[in-house]
Amino acid sequence: MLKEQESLRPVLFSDIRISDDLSDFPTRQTFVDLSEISLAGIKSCLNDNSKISLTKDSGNEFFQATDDGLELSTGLNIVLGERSSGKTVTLNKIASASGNAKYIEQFSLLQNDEAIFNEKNDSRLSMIHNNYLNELKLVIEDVNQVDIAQNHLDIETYVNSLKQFATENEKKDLFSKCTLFSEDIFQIDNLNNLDSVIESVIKLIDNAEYQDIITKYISTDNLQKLLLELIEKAIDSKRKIEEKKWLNSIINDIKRELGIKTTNSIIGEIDFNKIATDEIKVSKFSEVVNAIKKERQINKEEFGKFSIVTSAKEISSASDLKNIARDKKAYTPAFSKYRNPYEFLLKLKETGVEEASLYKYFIKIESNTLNQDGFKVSGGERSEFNLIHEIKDATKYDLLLIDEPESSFDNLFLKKEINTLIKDISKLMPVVVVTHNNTVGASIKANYVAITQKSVENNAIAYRIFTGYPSDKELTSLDGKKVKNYSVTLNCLEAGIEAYTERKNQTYEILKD
Amino acid sequence: MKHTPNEKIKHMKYLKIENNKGLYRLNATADSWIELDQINKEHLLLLLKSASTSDFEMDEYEDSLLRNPAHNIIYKNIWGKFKGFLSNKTRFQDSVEAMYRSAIEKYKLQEREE
Repeated sequence: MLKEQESLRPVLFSDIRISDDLSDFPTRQTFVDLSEISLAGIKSCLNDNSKISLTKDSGNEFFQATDDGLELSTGLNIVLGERSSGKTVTLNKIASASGNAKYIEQFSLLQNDEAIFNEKNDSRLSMIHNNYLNELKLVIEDVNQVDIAQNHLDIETYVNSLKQFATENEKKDLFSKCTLFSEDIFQIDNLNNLDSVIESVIKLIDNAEYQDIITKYISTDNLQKLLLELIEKAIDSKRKIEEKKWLNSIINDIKRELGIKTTNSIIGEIDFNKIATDEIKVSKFSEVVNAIKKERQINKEEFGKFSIVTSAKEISSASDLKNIARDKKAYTPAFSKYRNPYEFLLKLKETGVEEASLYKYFIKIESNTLNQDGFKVSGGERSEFNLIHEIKDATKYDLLLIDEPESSFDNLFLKKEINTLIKDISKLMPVVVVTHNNTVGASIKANYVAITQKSVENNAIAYRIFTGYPSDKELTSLDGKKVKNYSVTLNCLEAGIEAYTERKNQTYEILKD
Repeated sequence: MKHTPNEKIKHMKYLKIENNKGLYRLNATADSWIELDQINKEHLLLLLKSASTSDFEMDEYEDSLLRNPAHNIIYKNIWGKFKGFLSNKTRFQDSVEAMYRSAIEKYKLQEREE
């Protein structure tokens, strides 16, 4: 039951009869965090789990919050005060004294513009976007080197030279008759594959973490033999490549010299292997792009009662492309080729998209923040989401300062949820909240209250901070002056006792049946 | 390049100039000479193999002795390159020798220790 933070905390009693000559107390006790003992004070503490404890030491402690000696609770502090009585000044002082405080400023959570909110979220999630597009990026980097149009031109030139050579076959001269004149050079093999196999085997041998699993199936001895054989193969292949390159240089020199002397046409050079590979690359690329275009959810992050769902879908208009680019170029010609990935790529380049960002234009990635019912968040919920985000971030700091959280929330019902959030984080770190609002101020159940006051004394303006427990009858300033808690609190939150009574008696009573 | 008939067994000639033509053979023990205009890339590869593994001999290139201009071009190029190769026969082996040296040394040593 102790762990059930949200329910009422059980308290321990003993049925001892108190008398003056009692020296030892039984251990069955409940401690209450309260400086002035009164029935009302005890009652308010029993309603708040964080103010009652079973040991003396786990009660609230204090820390010095400013250089001039202001002490605040390590839990939740609430700073109240009339306009320009020094609330924000106090908060700034606390922030600079701490050196490592998270400061949520007035209105900073306000987010009425949905587009800006989504954009902010997108930048928070840019890692996820990039990870998702990583493979596509690699494919595009490669396919970007392919020039199909040039390949087709090369084939045409080659075929023409071949035809020409064939028609002249009858009248070959001394030079063109030589076998080497029309000889192709050696193809040079690519050993990347073998290299990566060797690297993998070295990884298997050197891996310490999973050595037991690896050796269960392949003995170290065999792995080493495998490695040495692969290396032998690689060395042999590389030697052959070097030899062929060397021979190719002889062949090319001879061909060139024969070509100068002959009156016959020379058959053009062509690399069919590269051309065929390029064709395959383009078709695989289309396959990849068509696969990635299928709509899907790529990430879901839970964030308090919110969830951020990131989904990817195909581009549906030229303005989608414009949104990705964030520039004013005309994307209609590119979009008209969207169905053909390779042509689309070419058009994007033609439009002036930088090669390094080409991969961003093939699908649309959107993040939507949904509330617990699965609907898109409202303006107020966006502010709440921002608060959750900021509060999550606050755990990296020593202290959390919030200046008028109500300034960012227009919905009264949300404020209760905000209170819960603030209250929860105050269990982990000291929190100071400046507020004017009665919902926040009165119902948040702060551990400690500070009231700022401005007064004119001897023609000079004096600023004071009165502090104490919310249940205290009087609050005390650093120079020993006292104020009535009840009346100053009402002044700050409800525009004074008269206004409060009037509102309570007239406005609210009328609403009752 | 004068040698006695006895030495001829050891020193094998693969390229020669005769009657203004360049000739080559793939098997130094056979007397089957082929005219240079017939040489193709596979033959060149076989010549390189012979040059790497046996005592490879060829006639010095002499422009005036090769009146056939096509043969002249082919002979000059092959002779020039092979001459360079023969001065350092292990060049291809050397160029790949450094490959994976650290890996070979590391794992060969481990093998010996076992």
